[in-house]
Amino acid sequence: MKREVVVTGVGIISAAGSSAAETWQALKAGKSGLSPFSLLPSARYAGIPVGQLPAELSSLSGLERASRPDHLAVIAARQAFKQSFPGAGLPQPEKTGVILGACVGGMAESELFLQRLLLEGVQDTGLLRFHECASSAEAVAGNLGLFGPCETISTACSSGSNAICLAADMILSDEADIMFAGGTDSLSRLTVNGFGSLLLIDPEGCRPFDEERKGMSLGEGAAVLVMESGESAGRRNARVLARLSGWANTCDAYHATAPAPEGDGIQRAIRGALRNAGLSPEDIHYINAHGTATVENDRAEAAAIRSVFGEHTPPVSSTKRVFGHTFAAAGAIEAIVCILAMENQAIPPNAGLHRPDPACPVRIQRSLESADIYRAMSLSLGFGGNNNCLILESPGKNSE
Amino acid sequence: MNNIEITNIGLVSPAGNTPEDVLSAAAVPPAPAKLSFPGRKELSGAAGFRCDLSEARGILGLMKMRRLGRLQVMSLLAARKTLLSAESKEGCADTGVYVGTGLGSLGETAAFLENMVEQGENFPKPASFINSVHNAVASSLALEFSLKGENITVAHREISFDAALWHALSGLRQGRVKRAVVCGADELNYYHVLAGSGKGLWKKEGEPFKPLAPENSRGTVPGEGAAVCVLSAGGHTGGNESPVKVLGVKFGRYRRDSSTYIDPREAGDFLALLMDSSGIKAAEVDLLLSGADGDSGLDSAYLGAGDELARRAGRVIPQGTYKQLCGDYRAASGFGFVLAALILRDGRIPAGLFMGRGNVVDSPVKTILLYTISRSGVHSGCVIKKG
Repeated sequence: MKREVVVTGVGIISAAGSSAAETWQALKAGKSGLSPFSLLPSARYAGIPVGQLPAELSSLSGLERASRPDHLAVIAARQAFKQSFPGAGLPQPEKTGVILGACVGGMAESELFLQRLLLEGVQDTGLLRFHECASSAEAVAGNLGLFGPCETISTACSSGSNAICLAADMILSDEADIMFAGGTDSLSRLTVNGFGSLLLIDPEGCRPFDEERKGMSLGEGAAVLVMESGESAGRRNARVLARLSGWANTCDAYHATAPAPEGDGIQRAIRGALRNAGLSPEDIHYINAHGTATVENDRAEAAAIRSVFGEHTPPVSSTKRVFGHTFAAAGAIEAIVCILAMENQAIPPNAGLHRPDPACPVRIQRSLESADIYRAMSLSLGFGGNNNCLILESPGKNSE
Repeated sequence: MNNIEITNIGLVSPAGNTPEDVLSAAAVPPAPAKLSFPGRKELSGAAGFRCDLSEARGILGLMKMRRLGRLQVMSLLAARKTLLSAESKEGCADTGVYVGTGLGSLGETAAFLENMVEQGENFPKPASFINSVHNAVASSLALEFSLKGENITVAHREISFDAALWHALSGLRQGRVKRAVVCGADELNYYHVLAGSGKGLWKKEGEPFKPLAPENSRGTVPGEGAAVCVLSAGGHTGGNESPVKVLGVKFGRYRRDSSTYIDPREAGDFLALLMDSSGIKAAEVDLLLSGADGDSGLDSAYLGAGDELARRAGRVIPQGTYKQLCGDYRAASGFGFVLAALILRDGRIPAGLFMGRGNVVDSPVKTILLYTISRSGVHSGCVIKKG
């Protein structure tokens, strides 16, 4: 019998809210978490719509000296821990690990280091101590007392969902009993200027799958899931929020940044995850799309979905306008969106949509709708043609 | 399933870009060279190990040299040396790419940021931004050789390569891929050296660099490199020669103490778990190849781990090192891994691996245990064996 990997805790912080409950409220309302960019100084991009959090995070994380993604990761991980282990400690710290997706690390401090060095001649190397994106996973492990595998995945915007897949793999390989998996990233001038230089930022805020979309909105946040084997959850009577029943990662090998136009790699990821889960396309009740709102991404993703699911696709929504594109955190945030949708038996709307792009021939969810959702799919795509597909199932009903 | 074979290896390293060069250098390790960075303020007393990339233009072509960052160039060059080739237009959906890089394309990140600071966000360099992502190497390898399977990049300090190797082994064992290209790469960059100088991480120019030597002082020597290996599950293709197999990999977090990096008993327990999952006993280990970097503090942690391993094995196990050949960089265990595979193919342990204890072994080497300790509190290891 195939062993199962289940989710027993979630933690999330983003511009849409500082808990799963707040996040669901924002999702239900299709409320945009975007606000004018003010977190970091920028002559060129000040005021563009982004999903940003308050500048001060240490009071929430309890960390004194840490990078912004470290604060975010610890906040999310603590929430997940609290939900999964109410009033209890970890059963076996040596068999409990952490895998986080992270891209930016302490880039804000590195930017400051360079600015001071190049413009003022001041060499403050202390600012570089959090440069490496590995520090967030170590901060979570240190904070929660985890001594199992500890690593950082950096596959651009699919990092968080790849971390979830790889955590499942570690559990199924008996390398760990329990894994804290997810992603974290913060806004930085590097990413704002970088995506700006590629002309991929919509000055009006992102509008995924809209005919007039002009690009993405950036964001920041973290999401962490407590994952474990079904046996482990059963042993400690943990409440199961969802099963991770299928997953796959593929590469387009097409272009450094653009997705293959027909979404070949995305299709293979979807088919691989379905095969891994032992499911057919018609078993999927909702798809949370990567949906960055760039012209190429949305078309390629829609083409891939259409190719696998045919004319009658499940309802599809991108929730990027709610959170902004949170890079390495996005896949984990959206996995939690799928869990919340199943828990609440409702499909979150595709915020920011006015007129669906006919070149994206999938069933875009325009408003909140109650529905029987027992299996949800989350897609994540990253630079380098990196594609990930996760399938989550509700534990509440073994539906057909 | 312990039938994962190393079918091809390739590397670009300060010790040379061919197996022969590296084995020769391993016999008599070269001294670190004075580091200079054209157009940059001189870093007084900085020495290190850099790769010679002069052949890259002829092999990769001018366009790629212009378009790609140093880390991508090193990695593509190393991959070409494994004799990988783009096999078909459709690509290879069952070959995965697994890259470990601690710092990614630091030079490209720095180029983008410098421009942003100095030009006031007015004339950005989009190509540098594209190359700055940690998975730029993995996507370059996929593009170059049309590899469409799993594509994973681990960016976790000194365990980056070993963790990437773990995922490659898992992909092969679970049947998600039939072939895995595993790469460990990091580049030596001006800012990395500058930051290390500020923190007192480097030895001074001219100071002896002998990992595990009793006279060692604090500090190490920066380096760089790209090491690539191709792994497959079964299907030995090496002719009459016995295959070199990867038996197991493990990584985790250790309990830190303020005075030592890791308690030797904890290192011993970790290595015991690794050997157990690899199906070998401590007494079978012919060589402990460690990531000791010449810093007296970290060296003592490695020596403690070696002593503990010897205690459990009931005999002295020689502990060799490799950073005297490539310098210290995050993904250097990838170089150690490829060097270990070369040693197993060659059947002899080069004398220059023993900078500290001078315990050269004459008997044939069949099993090598690699061990890496990161100052941040994580450690990793793997076991490879011939036959």
